[in-house]
Amino acid sequence: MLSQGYDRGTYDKTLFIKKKREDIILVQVYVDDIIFGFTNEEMCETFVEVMKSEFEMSMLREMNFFLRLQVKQLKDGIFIN
Amino acid sequence: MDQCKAINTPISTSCQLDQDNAGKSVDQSKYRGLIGSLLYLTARRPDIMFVVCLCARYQFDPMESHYNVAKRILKYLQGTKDVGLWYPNNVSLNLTGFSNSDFAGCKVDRKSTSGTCHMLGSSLISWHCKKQVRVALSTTEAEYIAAGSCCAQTLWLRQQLSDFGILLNKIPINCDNTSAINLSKIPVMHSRTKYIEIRHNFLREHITNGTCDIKFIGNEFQLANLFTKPLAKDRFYFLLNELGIISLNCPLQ
Repeated sequence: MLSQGYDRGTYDKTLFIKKKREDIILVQVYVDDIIFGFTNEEMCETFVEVMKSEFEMSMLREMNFFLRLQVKQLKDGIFIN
Repeated sequence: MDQCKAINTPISTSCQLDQDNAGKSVDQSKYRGLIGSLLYLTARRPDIMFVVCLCARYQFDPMESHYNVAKRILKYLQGTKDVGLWYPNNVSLNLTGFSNSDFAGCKVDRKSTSGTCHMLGSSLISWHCKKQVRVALSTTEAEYIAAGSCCAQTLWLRQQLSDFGILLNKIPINCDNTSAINLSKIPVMHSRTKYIEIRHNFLREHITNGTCDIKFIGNEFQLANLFTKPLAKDRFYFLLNELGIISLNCPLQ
């Protein structure tokens, strides 16, 4: 990740951040689970490309579950239970 | 317990747990197993945080009275299975801390409990309930210690947010005790604070250098109340709504 120009979080060492002008991509890694968020489609695509070339990746989609938490992404907000 | 009757608050307001040496012992591993599962659940259910932490204190020698309180939590969960945290879109990114404490709430060693929570805009992002390590001699001391741990968490969140590119300063910490607030600004009022530990003065340091700011909040809007005391039904649901702990299917009541 670091070689791809990502910075590590100051306290949280499993958080990776890359900024490009106004845009940002955040990648949070937990063992074999990854969640990421972005403000720029292009940055996301590059990230996915890199990950696919390095690792075998399965299930890349909108988040419904993370660490056994159910995450519902709705029009006006996010609901976690 | 699958078929149990639902109940609308996790703990009765008259609940006074103590060691209960005269009570009937219950199976320790069963009790611990239950508490362990409930503690795991508190990661996404802040509404049961206080009562689970309360029950967790008696794991060494659990009695029937403790077990009954723990079973009430299950009854409460039975009726609130679809409750979760709501994070709405388009809210302001203002971080606010809330800190509160009860005074000498533990009947066994008279230690106080700190309860803190943090809201980012109108979303609850961090919560905490812990029995204080030292015995506080006055409410001022207890509140001050709670505000100190709230400050520590605030600093962590501030750093985390600055990683995301959001720089915040003078982050408000809402406290409902004026003397604790005064104490954090000027070192006065010695008679009530003589024995306070030095490490809690770190709050004062961060207020002086401008990372945090401590503010008064009336008891009614003190959201951290949820993490320090048993509450009556109306108050309990008022706080849940304010904290964004809701059910999508039906409004809680």
